[in-house]
Amino acid sequence: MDSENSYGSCQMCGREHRHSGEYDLPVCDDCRNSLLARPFPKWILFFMILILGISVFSLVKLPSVLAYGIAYEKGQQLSQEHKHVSALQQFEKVAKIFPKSAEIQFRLYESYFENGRIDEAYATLDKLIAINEKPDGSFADKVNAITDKMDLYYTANEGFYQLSDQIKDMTLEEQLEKIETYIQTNQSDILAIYSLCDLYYEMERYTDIEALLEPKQESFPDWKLGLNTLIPVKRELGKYDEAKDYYETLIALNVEDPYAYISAVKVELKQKNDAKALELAQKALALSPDDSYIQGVMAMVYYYLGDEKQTKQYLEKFNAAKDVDQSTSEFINSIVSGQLVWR
Amino acid sequence: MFFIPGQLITWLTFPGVIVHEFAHQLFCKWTKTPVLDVCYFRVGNPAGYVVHENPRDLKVNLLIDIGPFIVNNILGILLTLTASLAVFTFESGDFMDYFQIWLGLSILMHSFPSTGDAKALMAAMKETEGQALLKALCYPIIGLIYIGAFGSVIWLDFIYASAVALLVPQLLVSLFV
Repeated sequence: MDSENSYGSCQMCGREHRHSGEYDLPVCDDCRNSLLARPFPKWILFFMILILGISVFSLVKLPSVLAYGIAYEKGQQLSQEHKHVSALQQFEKVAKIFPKSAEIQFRLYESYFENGRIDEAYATLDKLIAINEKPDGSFADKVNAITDKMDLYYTANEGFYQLSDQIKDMTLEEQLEKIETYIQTNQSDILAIYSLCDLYYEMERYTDIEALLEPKQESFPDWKLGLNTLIPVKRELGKYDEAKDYYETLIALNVEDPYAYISAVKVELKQKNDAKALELAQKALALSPDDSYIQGVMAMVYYYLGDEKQTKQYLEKFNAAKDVDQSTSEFINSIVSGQLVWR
Repeated sequence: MFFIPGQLITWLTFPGVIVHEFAHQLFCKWTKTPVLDVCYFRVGNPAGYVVHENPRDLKVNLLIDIGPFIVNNILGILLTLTASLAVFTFESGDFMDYFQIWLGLSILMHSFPSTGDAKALMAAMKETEGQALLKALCYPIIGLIYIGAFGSVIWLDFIYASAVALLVPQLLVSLFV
């Protein structure tokens, strides 16, 4: 007998074979090979092919699904950075693919509100309610927090709408009197207060606006209509530091709001900080290059900077636009032509 | 935590058992280890098994034992990757998404080797001389196998599967944001 190997019976076929000691199982080479060649049953192969097929299907979908996941995450990040225009664009991408997602509709709702697109916000709220009639506590709280603000900032009480209807054919003085009386007993109707301030602004009653709006703005620091009114009021009253505080607050609420920068431009122009005004105007233009009002303001800025070529270029674009209202057109043209001495 | 019979869980997640045993057999094939008997799924405990020669090489033993962990995780992740975002993030999955989630979770839940695999690995370690580094690697693996096995009573296997299904897609997204 060979001293390095032993002989014995194969455990499977019973034949004599040389057991080298290399393997644990005492089987002959033929039996070992047949065990190694043991096939997978057909049904297992079919099952695994099915699993692999579904996995490959998932892999094929991955780029597009990942793109939406990335858009959603980017949107959330942008929202936290108060870049609400870009955030909205990301959420709109996702909403096209997942229109029935309550989470996405909520993000859209929030973004429309932050961008001041209130009609679209309310339309999205309707979709949200249709998708999720009985939301859980925390989701409902999130939605209600925005809805409460929207109702407060952009919806007057029913009484004010009825009043508006009644007074529409009255003289300005009569309208003022009626609204002032209404507000005395409806101090919480801040949209009505804003409407009154709008009338005061036409009459250049800036100190009255200050008295009415500032307490409300303190209570509701993210009330954009209030900020948009107080900035020009402070500007016209020469309270430039306060105007600057307000415009910085407005910009911080939505760093991609071009009109927030335009409010700031006019404050700086009044103080003859023309270089600063240009910097802010260029930010507004970068955010909304085709906006005719912004182009008109650019014409103003270049006029004060003494750059005739740029003034003419932007004024032509502004005047060629079809969406400019007459009073704005007159205002900008009269400044640039030198007819109106604005500062 | 509520008690559901283990058998019921196994029946509900039967694809995971089948893939687990398939993975063992696959690694046996790749490492040229003879397979004596295979049961991919049955009523009983264990729900599946692969009877194979005990490899003399500790590395081969380790590979066969962790085969299911590799295969089940890869397949489970692939299956849940796209469906997870649709179902869990956007709550807007279709039938195929939910099917993928069930399949993926079932496979992930059975990714841990069994205590039988751990015992085989311990036996192989005893018989192996030297290879201290490899043995050092085997100890924590054996520990994890036992944790996984006993932890299934408190739904650890489901928690693991859910964590993988939820976190891997999020991780992938965060790499690109």
